[in-house]
Amino acid sequence: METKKNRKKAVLILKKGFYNRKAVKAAIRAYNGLADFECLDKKDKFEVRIKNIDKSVGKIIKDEFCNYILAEIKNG
Amino acid sequence: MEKFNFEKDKIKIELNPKIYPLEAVLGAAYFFLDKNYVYLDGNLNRKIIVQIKPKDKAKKNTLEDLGNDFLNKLLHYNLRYQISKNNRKIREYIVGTALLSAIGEAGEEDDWKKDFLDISTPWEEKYGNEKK
Repeated sequence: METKKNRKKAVLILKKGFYNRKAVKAAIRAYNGLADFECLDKKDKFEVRIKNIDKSVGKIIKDEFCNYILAEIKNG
Repeated sequence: MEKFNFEKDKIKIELNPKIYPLEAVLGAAYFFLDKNYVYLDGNLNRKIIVQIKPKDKAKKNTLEDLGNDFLNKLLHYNLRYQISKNNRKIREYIVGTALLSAIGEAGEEDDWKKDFLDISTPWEEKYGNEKK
């Protein structure tokens, strides 16, 4: 099934003290089917750029993505 | 003191990391993930900012209650973390002793299984073809 993509982009800033690379990568793997992710590893933060977001999750993907990372950190 | 800031549909709580360690904040945040969106920001050495946004649209009163609930949960996790930190050595000692004693039990052979008189070996194997 072809999913409808949203042209809207989103950028997420995650501070390195709170979020770790392993959890961010795990979240990207999990959400890969819903959007295109690009993770930039900067000095004190991760910058996650989200593009081609699936229309059905356009409003919540950013927040759900953050929640997933936090859960991953706690359980990982 | 913790500070609440209200924005449209979310609450921002500022915490002092010297009072509330990150482990406690993560524990409390995890508890709230079910019904809220939680986002962490700030600086680990100066100020931790926890942003909570309910998945269902919320009123300001509800947001304040949510903030207070979070602080209660944070205290709970802080206490758990402190106890866990203080008891770490004794916990490791108990587990280590238990594991060591378990290894000892598994390695020892019971006396009744030992065949001191070589009774289990058949006559033929013991004496071969010797004539009686």
